[in-house]
Amino acid sequence: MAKLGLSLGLGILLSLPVLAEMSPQQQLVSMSHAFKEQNYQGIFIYGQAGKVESLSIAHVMESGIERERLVHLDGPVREIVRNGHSVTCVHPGDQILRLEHSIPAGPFAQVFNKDVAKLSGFYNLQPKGLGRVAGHMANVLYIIPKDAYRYGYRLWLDKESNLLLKSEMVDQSGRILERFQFTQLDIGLKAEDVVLQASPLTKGHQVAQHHVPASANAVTGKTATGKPAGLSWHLAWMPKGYTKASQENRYLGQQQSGKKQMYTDGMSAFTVFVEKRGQGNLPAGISRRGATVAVVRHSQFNGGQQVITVVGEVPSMTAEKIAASVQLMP
Amino acid sequence: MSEKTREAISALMDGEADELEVHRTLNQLKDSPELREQWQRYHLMGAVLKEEAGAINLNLADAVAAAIDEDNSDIRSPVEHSSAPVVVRSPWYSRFAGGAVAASVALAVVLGFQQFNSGSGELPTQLVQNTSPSVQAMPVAVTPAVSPVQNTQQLAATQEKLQQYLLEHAEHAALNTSRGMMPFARVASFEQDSPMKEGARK
Repeated sequence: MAKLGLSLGLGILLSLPVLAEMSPQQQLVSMSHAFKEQNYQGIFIYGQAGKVESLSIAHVMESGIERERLVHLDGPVREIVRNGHSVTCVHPGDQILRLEHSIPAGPFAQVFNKDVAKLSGFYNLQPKGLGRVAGHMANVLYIIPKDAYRYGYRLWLDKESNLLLKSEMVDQSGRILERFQFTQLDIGLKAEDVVLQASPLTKGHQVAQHHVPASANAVTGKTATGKPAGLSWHLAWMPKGYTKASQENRYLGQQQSGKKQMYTDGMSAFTVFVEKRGQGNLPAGISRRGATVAVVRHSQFNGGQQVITVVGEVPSMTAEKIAASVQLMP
Repeated sequence: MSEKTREAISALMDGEADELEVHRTLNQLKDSPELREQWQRYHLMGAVLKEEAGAINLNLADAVAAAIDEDNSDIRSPVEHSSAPVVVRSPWYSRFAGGAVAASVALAVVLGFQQFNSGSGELPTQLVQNTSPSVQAMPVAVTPAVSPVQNTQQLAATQEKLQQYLLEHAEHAALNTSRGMMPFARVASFEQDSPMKEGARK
């Protein structure tokens, strides 16, 4: 009897810390905040499709303004610097990352924050104990999809800040498609200790700056009536849990106009592009690299020809089904 | 799988297989899931070792369809072939630059034959279950109408265009998913593989 009491007592004692800890949902929300709100600086490796690269990242949140710098440490010098909502890319030679940065101002990862409670509808969130990454103790969390339309994730979150230290995106068979992992990381730095200036190495390189356009209409090809010049369409099918993240028209050259739409379930995202068929369209087909897939489909509607492209971190089958479900509207 | 078959696959990948070998190997591929797996593994290994941009190429279904004629009447019989191997071999090479065609074929195989016709607007209905699609869509004779140069240009244009989509997607993903600037790491990885990037490195 005494033994039983001891066991019970131990059981309660052992379970107490667990109760005090965050739920997986809370951890994910906290992770999203940590990325945005913490000051940190470190080096991480990023691997996919049999390749591994190292990058450095520095991030500061100061007076409500987020500043960030991402530097490729391998290969050609490439940097991406973010200052609030302005994104600057530095590239050697004629390489320009064409970031339109047409996302309206708003909270970072707002969709994720809003929908994290819904995540459990299409993913099982399983705590997997403790791990250690880049010298930091981490809570390990498995995010296992409930259907075959999305990938799974294994996340290592810093025990104190909930910053993401390591993530693996896995397919149904457990194969790792994409890996992100800090190898060195300082968290909770003072803003002035974080290096956010572009490196001297990038001097003489082309700098592309991207701001939210003052007049979005001027560059998005809207007609006089205010209606989009692009094609109207909607998705007849998509995996449950995905919601519209942003929408915009875009204008490609003189002949093509099209519309794109991103959808996210909070963990992953895909973007659908619909354009009128013209010069230089991609051939119909499918391409995959690591976790990212691109599906191109040609369709006919109302006597016109359209090109539908779906790009995202979803299984090929999902992207194909989405591409096939695009319904054009007059 | 026999050593001979292994060699045939290897030759096919390197663009060194002649018309007959291509035909025979593709027929074998059609009948053997094991062989298809091997074929895919070879290509994945090759892609990793060479760090080639092939991994992000589309399968260029249109280009392949245009380049490869479904009419197999051009294929010579084994007897004819063995009697004049050199004669058969050289037009195959000169007309299609061997490797270019083999690469297109290879790409389609790596990507699991998940091509669809641009005209019909119909997707294959068995995509979900069909992990090893049939090889029947793999004719090997080639029309002289499409030159390798066009294919190369088309490939470069395709890569560039694809890159543009990836960038736009990643930009949105960076702002709409929970992982900060990680999607940009994804983009830059793509970018580094583009042919233009190779040029800039010099």
